[in-house]
Amino acid sequence: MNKIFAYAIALLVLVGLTATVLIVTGVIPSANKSSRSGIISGAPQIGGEFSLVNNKGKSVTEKDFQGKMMLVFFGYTFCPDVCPTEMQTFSQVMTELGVDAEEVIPVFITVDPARDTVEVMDEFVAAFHPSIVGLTGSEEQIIHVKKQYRAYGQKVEGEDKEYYLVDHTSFTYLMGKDGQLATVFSYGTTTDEMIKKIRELL
Amino acid sequence: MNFIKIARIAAVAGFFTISLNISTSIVASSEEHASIIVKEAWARARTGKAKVGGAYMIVHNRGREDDRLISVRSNIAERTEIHTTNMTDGVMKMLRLKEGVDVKAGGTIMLEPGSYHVMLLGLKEPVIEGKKFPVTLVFKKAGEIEVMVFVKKAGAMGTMDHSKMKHKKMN
Ligand SMILES: [Cu+2]
Repeated sequence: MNKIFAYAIALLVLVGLTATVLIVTGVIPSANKSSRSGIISGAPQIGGEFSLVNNKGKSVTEKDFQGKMMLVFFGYTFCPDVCPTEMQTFSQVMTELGVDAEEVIPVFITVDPARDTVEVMDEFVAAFHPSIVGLTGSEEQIIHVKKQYRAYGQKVEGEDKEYYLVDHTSFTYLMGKDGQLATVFSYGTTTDEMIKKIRELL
Repeated sequence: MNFIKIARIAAVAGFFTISLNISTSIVASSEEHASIIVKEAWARARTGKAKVGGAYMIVHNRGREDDRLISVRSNIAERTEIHTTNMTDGVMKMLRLKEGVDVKAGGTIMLEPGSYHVMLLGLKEPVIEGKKFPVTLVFKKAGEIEVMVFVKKAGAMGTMDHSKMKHKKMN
C-alpha cells in the first residue's frame, strides 16, 4: 500500500519537474503569457523607448536616462511588503556606491497608474532615497513600458474595488549606459551583488 | 501501528477538549496568555498618502497544542487582514489568508517582509516612524491577544536595528 503511494508521489514529482524544465527552456509555453519566461531565458530586446511622467510631474522618455545605468523595478505604492523592501535595497545600493552612484539612476515604475499619481509616487520614492525616480503615466503608457520590459503587472479582480492588489514582476533590471539590458536580478539579490555588477559596468 | 495511531488521535482529541475549557478561562482572565507569545511587533512607516500598510511580528506557540491565528483587528485601518506574499515564476502575488495561519505546538511563525504580514487596508491615520499602535490577534484556542506595533523606517527590514525591540506588550 505505502509503496504504491510512494511510487505515485515519485511519478507526480517527476512529471512536475519535467514540465517545469520544458516550460523554463521554452519547449512548452507557460500558461501565464510568454512575457515572464522570456526574462528568465535572457531574451534580448528588453527596454527601449518609453514615455512616462516622473514624480515631479515632468514628462520623460528613455533619452532622459541616456548615458547612465538604470536600476528598474516595477511595483505599486499600495504594496506594503515587497516594494518597500526593493526600494530599501535601491537606497542601500545608492548609498554604498558612494561617488559611483552618479552613474546610476534607480527607477520605480508603477504598474498601478490609476492610484499612483505623481504626488503619491513622489511621497513614496522620497521615503527611501532622494535619487530614486518614480515613473507613472497613462494606462496606455504603462502598458507600453511593461511590454518593452516584458514586465508583468495585473490587477487582481475581486470584491475589493478600492484596496485591490496587483500582481507584478519581482525582478530588478540593470540597464547599461547604452540602454541595453545588462542583467536581471531576481528578488532577494543582495545589495553587495548588485553593487558588484554595477561596478563591473562602470 | 494502527493502535498507536488511534491512541494518538485519542490523545489529541482529549487535549482539544481540555483546551476548550482552559482557553475560555484564559480569554476571561484578560491578558495572561498561557500558550501564545507575540513579540517584536513592528511596522514600516508609510507616507501621508499611503492607504495601506503592513505589520510584522513573531508568533510563538509555547503550548502543547496546535493553534491557529484566525483573524486580526485594528483601529488604525478600515480593514485588517492576514496576508502572505508568494512568488511564482518571478511574479509577486499578495494573498489574503482567509483561513488564517497555523501555529503548531512549539512552533514559531515569522511575520516578516516577503512572507506573512498583517495587512492594514484603508489607513485612517499616517503610520509615522517612532509611533506605535495596537493590533489584536485572534487565535482559535488562545483567544485574543493585543500587541503594540512599533513603527520603524519606511524601508526597515526588521526590529534588529537595536532599541525598542524589548518594548513589546506581553501582559
Ligand atoms: Cu498584503
